[in-house]
Amino acid sequence: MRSDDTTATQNLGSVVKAEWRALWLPGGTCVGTIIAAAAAIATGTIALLVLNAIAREPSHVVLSAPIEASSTTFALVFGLIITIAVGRDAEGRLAFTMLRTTVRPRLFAARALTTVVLGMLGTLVCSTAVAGVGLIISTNSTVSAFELAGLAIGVHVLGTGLIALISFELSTILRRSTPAVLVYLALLVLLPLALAVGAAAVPGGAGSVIAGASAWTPAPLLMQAFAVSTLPTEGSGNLVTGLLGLLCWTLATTFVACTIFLRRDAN
Amino acid sequence: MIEVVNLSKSYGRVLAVDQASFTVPDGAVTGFVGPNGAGKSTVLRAIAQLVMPNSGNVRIDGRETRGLDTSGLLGVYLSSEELPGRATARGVLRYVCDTRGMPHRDADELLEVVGLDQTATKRIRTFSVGMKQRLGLAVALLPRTRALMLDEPLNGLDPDGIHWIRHHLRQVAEHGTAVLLSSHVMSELSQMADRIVMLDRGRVVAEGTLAEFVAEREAERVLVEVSSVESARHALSAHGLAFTESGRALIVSGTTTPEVGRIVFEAGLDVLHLQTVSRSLEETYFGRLAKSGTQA
Repeated sequence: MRSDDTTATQNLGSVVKAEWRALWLPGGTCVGTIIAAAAAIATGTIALLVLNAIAREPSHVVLSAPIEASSTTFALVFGLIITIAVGRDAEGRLAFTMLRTTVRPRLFAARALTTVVLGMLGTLVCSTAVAGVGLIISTNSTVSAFELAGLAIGVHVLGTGLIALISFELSTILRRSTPAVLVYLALLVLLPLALAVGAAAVPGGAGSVIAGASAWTPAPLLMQAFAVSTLPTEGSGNLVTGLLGLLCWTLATTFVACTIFLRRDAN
Repeated sequence: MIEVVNLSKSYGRVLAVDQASFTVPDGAVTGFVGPNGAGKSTVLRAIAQLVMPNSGNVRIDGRETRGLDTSGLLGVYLSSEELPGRATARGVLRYVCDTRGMPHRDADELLEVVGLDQTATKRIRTFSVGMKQRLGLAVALLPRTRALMLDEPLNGLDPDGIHWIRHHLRQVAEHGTAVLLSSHVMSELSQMADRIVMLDRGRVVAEGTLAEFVAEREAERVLVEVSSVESARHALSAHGLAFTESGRALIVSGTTTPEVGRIVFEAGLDVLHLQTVSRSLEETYFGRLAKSGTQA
């Protein structure tokens, strides 16, 4: 006998659970996440091997820089995968989910939350794996390098969560995977490049204004936030600025995406 | 009970639904009919909260639905395209269970009921239209709501599938569920629906029981078979009545059966057969559309 549904209710927890499970079912983002993780671990391991081979004396960079490489790779690839998956959903599965969860803020929060948690978990796994490999093969890392690696993992988990959220919001705003991917790539790759070229081409004060603007685009902010290896030499200023910058992008895109999602008609 | 009250929705300058109001009572199947472009889908999507109406509202069991969690009030199936093609039938039903905190065994049992237990782990995009319709119905039925809304659930179904849906919808209606069923298959709708709501150009042009809907134009057609067709023709013409010949019978329009009986009796003719010609739902539907000048 089927259960008596009068006892069943819907709340944020049940929708989060449903969305989380859906991520791992066929049609979810599990394959994409595994690809991102494999690419990230491979990048981190290669960086680890190269830095260990060329390092002449013990250094914290030998361990923290490969973790940075791994986390950056995961964050960017995972962001791209989320942009594609959420955009694809908007063209299909979203109407189905909207019919099952009619309280839009609840659905929006559940989908955003599961995306962020998956991104953070992915970075945690990748960076911990690279740190683990580093622990085994590294002969040139110091005790402080392992402390720094621990800090890097924490910061990178947070940063990836923010990048994942920005990707999710972009696709929610644009409602189609192709334009969302184009905007994602433009925002993370083309815009900072174009601004850097512009800053070099334009002389004087205008050039420095453009260079300043370039530093506030998501990709440079991500680099800043993830650059834990610079902490001993340059302090925590860059890292905090990077994280705060990403947080500002997240808040802005969340505001726009939330406004659109709560009011719009489904496809 | 589903109540649609003065619902209007426009897309840009196009007014898709214009002040539509109707009721879907508990314990009955209400057929929702209208030509393509009449605004049926927009009304259904507004009831499901997929589109935001410009004005008016929808109530389920007396509660206004805007922003309300209706997952436990209204079971919905709008289109097979809404089903995520990359997912499996089991995955989709378990997702619905998860959103409402229901055990997964409910999903597995329903898969058996709709005959999809053998294909539960296949991706939905490999399903036939009929299989998708069965799955869609299972999705709508799973939360065991007191109101059910289905858009064209008979499309692509084989006779067995149609029979199954007919039987199942009658059963849920008999248990007190309010069922709103949109369909173009009039012959099937006439066997399933207790009530009809007809939409044309965004407006509700008819609402009532199936019998009322069909009977509205019945008085206009009476079949009479008499001993002399020629004499009957004269008698009816003398009373200014229009008629057509059908073999040895005449089909008279614009009057009542007792009136035709009285005329031929007074003309001294032997009445062999006299009956009101019942229109089918389909004939009534097309008759109404023709009257309003709409192409079906």
